[in-house]
Amino acid sequence: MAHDRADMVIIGAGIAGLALAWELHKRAPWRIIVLERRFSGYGSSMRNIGRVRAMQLTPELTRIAIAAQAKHARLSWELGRSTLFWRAGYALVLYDEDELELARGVRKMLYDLRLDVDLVEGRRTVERLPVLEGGATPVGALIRSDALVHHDAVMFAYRRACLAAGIVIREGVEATAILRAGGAAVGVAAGTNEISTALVVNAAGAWSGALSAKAGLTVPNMPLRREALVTEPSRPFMRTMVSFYRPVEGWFHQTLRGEVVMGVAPPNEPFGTELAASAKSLGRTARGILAKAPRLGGLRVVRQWAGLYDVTPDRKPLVGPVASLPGFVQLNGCNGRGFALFPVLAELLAQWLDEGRRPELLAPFDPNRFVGREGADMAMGDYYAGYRKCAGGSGITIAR
Amino acid sequence: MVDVDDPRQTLAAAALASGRLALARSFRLHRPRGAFCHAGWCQQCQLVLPDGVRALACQIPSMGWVPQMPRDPRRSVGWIAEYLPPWFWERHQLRPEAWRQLCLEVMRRLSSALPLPPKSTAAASGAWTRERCDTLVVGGGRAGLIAARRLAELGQKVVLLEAERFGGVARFLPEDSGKVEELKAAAHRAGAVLQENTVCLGLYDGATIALALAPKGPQMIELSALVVAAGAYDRLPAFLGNDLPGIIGGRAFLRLAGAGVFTGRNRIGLYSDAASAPRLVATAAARGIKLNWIAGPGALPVTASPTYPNARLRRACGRGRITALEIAPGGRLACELLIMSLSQPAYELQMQAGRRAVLAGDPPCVRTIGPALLPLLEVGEADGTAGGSDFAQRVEAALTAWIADPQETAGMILDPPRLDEPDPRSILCHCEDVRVADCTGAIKDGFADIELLKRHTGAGTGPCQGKLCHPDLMACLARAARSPALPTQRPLLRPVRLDQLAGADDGA
Repeated sequence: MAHDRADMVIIGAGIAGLALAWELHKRAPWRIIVLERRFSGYGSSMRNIGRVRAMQLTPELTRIAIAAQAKHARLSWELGRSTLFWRAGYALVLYDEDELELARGVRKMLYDLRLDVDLVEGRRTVERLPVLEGGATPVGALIRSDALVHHDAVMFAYRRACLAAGIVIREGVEATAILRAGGAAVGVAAGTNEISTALVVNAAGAWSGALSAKAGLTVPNMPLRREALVTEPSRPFMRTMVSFYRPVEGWFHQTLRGEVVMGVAPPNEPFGTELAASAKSLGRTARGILAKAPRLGGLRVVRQWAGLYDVTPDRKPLVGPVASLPGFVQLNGCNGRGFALFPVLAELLAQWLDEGRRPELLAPFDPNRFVGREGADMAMGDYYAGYRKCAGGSGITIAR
Repeated sequence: MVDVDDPRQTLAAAALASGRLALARSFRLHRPRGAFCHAGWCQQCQLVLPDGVRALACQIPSMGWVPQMPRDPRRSVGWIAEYLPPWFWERHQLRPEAWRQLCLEVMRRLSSALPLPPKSTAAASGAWTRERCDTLVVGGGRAGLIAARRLAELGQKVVLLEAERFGGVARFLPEDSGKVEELKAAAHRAGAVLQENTVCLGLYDGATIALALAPKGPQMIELSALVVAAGAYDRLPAFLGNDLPGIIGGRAFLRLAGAGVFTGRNRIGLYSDAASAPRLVATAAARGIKLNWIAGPGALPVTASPTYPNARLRRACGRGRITALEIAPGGRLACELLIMSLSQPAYELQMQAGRRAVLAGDPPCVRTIGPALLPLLEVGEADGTAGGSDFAQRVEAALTAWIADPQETAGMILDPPRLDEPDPRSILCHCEDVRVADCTGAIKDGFADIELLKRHTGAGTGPCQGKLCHPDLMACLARAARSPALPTQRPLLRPVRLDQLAGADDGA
């Protein structure tokens, strides 16, 4: 068995792992090894749609998301490659009078966090979002100049920067076991290779729950499949990204290249790491989106795929060292917001690991918050409905 | 799927007959493009009809309307872009943010993509249906019809899907077209369910379900075994000028030969592999079409025309349309129409069924090997062979062996690929305007995994989903001494309008 040494082993070369490696490299000459089971970005980093929105539904998430968007805005310059960061705009569209009341609460919460959001109501909604003409009548929308990046461009910018910085990315190498000694994580076994290290970072995205289990930890992360499809390109005809408040009603937007990407989540998707797209989702997406935006009916679908959310019971990420296993650090659990959040979460975590003091923004994302209630209820179904429970103390009620 | 029964009556055929070869523009470099496949898969001839609807010129009746292609000032922008090094834009315009935003806005508007089609006036889309079969046969050419009959005679429930009309390429060959009705009747008598105008869009759920789009709506078909009889695509290798209008596939030529499209055209060149050259030469002779010269990478039949066997492709010359082909040895051969008769056997369904892609032959094409998730047989041109007088016997023999042992994968002997060095500016991926230089550059920069290469360059992600570029993408990896592979073949096999998928689904 071959032995190897590193200051840090990051498991997972998705956006989380590469961003952390890059941020640490900028601070100190750490010897970092990134292990990747398949290829950089395999999993959700290269299967997501690159929405970077600051507008979230809870104050904790909004605070970090504002920082995340600012990070993405300067990422092209930091990495020396364009990530195609584009302020396309984002609209959360509502179809129910009750939801409008909720939107007013969200707008006030966002306003208190100095995030300027438009709340359009009634007929003005379709005037602002003409792509919805002819479909079901919306009652209003929350609109903000949120951004879109090209996920592959971001990933490749990170990968190029990491390789140029001498960070070792071992692709096609699976971390088979987390080595423990004296109650602490001291290394990683990867096939016939053993790497001794002071820090092991779990950046395995949808597989992070399984990896924590390998380290003997019980965390409530669960992988959840989400599906998308993409059409052939068209001349620009819309700008603002559209999401319907209930994810079972869907989302779509036109990319910089002119393709329209869309998806509608099923109400009953089981947890699991199934990465193949389903035939049913084609019909579900077509029916769902055309009911709201019938003008898209003549576009041709060229491809469909699925990605995975790494879901936690309170919809918040897990970031930081694990108290019960010194040397083991979590950087996961982003509930489908990972691509937007990880660049800034990695920057803050690197600061924490380097300076030894937790940045204030990371306080709500303590990875030890589930200790003692690992069996936390994971009611999925309508994804946003999960907020009803966790938004309790935040001053807004999320009700249907 | 196809609105016209006869591909010879299409808008693309009419445009070809009238000498109007450029029908569309590539959306990034604004290069003029014409129909290559005349069969609805290459996606290079998409245009906007007078009523605003987007359509493939080779999939709609001509109705006497011939499209106009006005000069587009954006072509000069594309022309400059062709000379920029790989990743030029990715390295510039990084800040300040306002400047970057402006550049993105401008570049997004420079796209030659077609405008959003008007809301379709078609009747409500057909509902989703479900059925099951023992064996699904994809492709209703001669091989598919023979397979459907043989398997149905064994008492199997067989469903056969044909994207166009039964007969495949045999419909257009005078010596074979008579046999199609007979084969169809025999398959029908044996109890096989035969569906025309039904495209198989892909396999799902571990290859246990196939999705098809029939005229009455989407169909989910449960299957236990798969026969791929989907024939072969016309292969368009990477060489400089390979996307010039006026280059059409060999199968496209066979489809159109009887339509009088080629009469009056005085210079037609043929570049053909050894296997399909006799069929093309015979068809041309039977239809009275003069081939001015014949060239090919291998041996060629002896004809009255000048013949250049063992000739490598160098470049196609011309501005806006082809005027000559340069080969070595042979030099520059003038032509106004170039028939490119090379084969890429259908491979996507085999890969969705779990097989692995390898590169083989000259010019290299994608073949699939390894175990599949379900019993799988390739017959007809899909197994890499061309038609011929013993075609039916070979199909029957392959079926006999497969019926005896469905798990047995026939020991295929594949020729090693012959790799040429195309000009770095050759277009590799036509849909996304990816040049050979972009791919070799990405590989050199460490993006040598096929999945990374595909995502980094965008090659194979356009509307044709890699049918034109997959072999050359693999060849790029092979030339760089990397193991050639193909990315996961995701559904759909053909683009489908969103409103065709939106029908009610009781089982959803």
